[in-house]
Amino acid sequence: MSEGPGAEAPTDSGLWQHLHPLSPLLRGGVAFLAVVGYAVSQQFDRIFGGGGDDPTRGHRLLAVGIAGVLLLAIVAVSWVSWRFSRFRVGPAMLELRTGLLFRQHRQVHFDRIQAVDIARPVLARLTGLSEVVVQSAGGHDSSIKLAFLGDRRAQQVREQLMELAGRSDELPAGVPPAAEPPTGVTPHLAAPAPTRPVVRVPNARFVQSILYSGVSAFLVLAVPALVVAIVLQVPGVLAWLGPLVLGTAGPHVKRFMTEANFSLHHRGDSLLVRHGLTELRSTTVPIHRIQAAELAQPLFWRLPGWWRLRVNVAGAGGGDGPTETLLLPVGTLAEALAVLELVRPGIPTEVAMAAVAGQGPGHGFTTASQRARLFDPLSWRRRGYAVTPDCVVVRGGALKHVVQVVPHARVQSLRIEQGPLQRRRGLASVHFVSTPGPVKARASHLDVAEAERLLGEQAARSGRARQRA
Amino acid sequence: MGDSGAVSTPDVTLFSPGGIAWQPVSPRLATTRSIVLACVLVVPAVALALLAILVWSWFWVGLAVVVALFGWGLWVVRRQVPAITWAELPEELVIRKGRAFRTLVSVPYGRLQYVDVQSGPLSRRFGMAEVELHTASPESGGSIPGLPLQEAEALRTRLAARGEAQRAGL
Repeated sequence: MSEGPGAEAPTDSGLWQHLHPLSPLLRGGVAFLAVVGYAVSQQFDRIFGGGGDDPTRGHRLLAVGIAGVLLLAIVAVSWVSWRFSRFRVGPAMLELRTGLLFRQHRQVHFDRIQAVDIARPVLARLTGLSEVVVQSAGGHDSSIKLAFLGDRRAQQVREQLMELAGRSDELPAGVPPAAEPPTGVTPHLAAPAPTRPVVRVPNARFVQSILYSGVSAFLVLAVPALVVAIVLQVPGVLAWLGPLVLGTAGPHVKRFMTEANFSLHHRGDSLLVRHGLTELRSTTVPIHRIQAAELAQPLFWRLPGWWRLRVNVAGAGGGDGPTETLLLPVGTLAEALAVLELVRPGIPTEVAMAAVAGQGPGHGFTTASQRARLFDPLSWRRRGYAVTPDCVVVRGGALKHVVQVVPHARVQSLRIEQGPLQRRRGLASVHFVSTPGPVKARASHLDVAEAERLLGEQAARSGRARQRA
Repeated sequence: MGDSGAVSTPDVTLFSPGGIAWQPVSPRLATTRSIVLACVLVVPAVALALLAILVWSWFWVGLAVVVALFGWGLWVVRRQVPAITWAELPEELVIRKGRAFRTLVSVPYGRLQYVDVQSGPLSRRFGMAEVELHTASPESGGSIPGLPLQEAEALRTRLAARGEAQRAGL
């Protein structure tokens, strides 16, 4: 595993390269700032505090000496850390070696690369550095982070990796399926393809979308109540209402921080997603890696007619947050359908409209059995699925409207489930299992015979679609 | 492999055979599962018995509950094991499980990433192994417990070959 620095010899396709010298300091950025901040605040105390309580108790020289040694130690550790972190874009894979004592050698083959992101945390943005995050298929811990590189260098590395990943992806094993009708661009030679803006979400709309939610209704009542309680010093209210308010508002604030400034661009055969308020993130999602898509409209968004579009991307499952899986945080129906059209072209308009707003059978939809009324008094009319030449469209939710699209060629496996109550009423649910991600398509409460027919037909359809692929 | 008309896919049904030769798993699976159940329950049973003798005679009630649990568990195991059936179809492997909560999983060979054969000491003792199918999604795989060892190995080889032949990109 660890041939040590001897392996530094240049190879035919890639040299071992170092990261940016500032990276260790940035990686330990917060801690470093805290130390500096503490030191500075101590000085302030000493200068403005009248010197009454000198923390060094007269041993100023000793304190300075200790601080100096600490500083030297930090610099030395950083230098070693920098010296022994190297990466290489090799002939078949990207490799990253780190550590002197605890050595780590990570590698990811180009054909396993699912997405290459560039992230810029606040500190890095101040110093003009970027982090390249290489996502690969596999578990939670399978990404490689090149932290940090200069902005331009990061861009170069990303382009290079995308190109290499794209190229090895066109080998026979993982050809994008023919089930995708040509989107007007050639999948090869994506490098010079023009970048076309598709959607930009105004932050004003984003803020509104957060306000249009059940949680904000709660906050509208709770925050004034909290303020009144604090002002009037009502005992006990703060103790439970405070955490409650923080708890409910927290995720929304976090969502705003990560999803604001959202824009989506289309280039060649991939989508470029940029978002983030303090930490700008840009992600490239290759379209043929998208396994399933979901349009969702919470109840309160029905008035402005907004939708959210999320997708399952192979290899991005369960990662940290919505980086690759969110293609539209909040958009109009037209925008949502435009993005959906990029992701999964060829859904007939009437099917899409019926999926978005319709209920009951019609336009190719098969709905849940009437016997499901008992389990599903509100949404049984809406729940259902339709089959288009390329995909299954699943519709559901009476209050929160949900439309899921799974291409036939992307169905991993099929599952019928039936609980004891469903069995008494002759119902069963069919799951279209996709790769891990936010979209879990399920046609619930179908008539048993209908479910079995769907399973058989879908298995055949998926098989044919896979072979065409 | 060959092309797949709808013809080649027999009716896959949740309850009835539907024209498929469903294969049962080894009835010895019920034995091993009962043994495991007994091992799990024997600890609280002994503890409760000791407490009943030494501390308070009402603990006999607890012991009775554990025994009742054991009886119920045996009944469930006896019902569940025959409900596990599987079939190799031209394009997919289908596994049915469960009596109260029934599931049917259909995993296309082309979607298989790899196949595991597992066998613990107990099931090896009874000459059985479990075949576990892995696809790109952790929730989509299925497993067939209680296959005779040779059959499990043979099934794995067949599945690997078919998976290779019908491999499809993600």
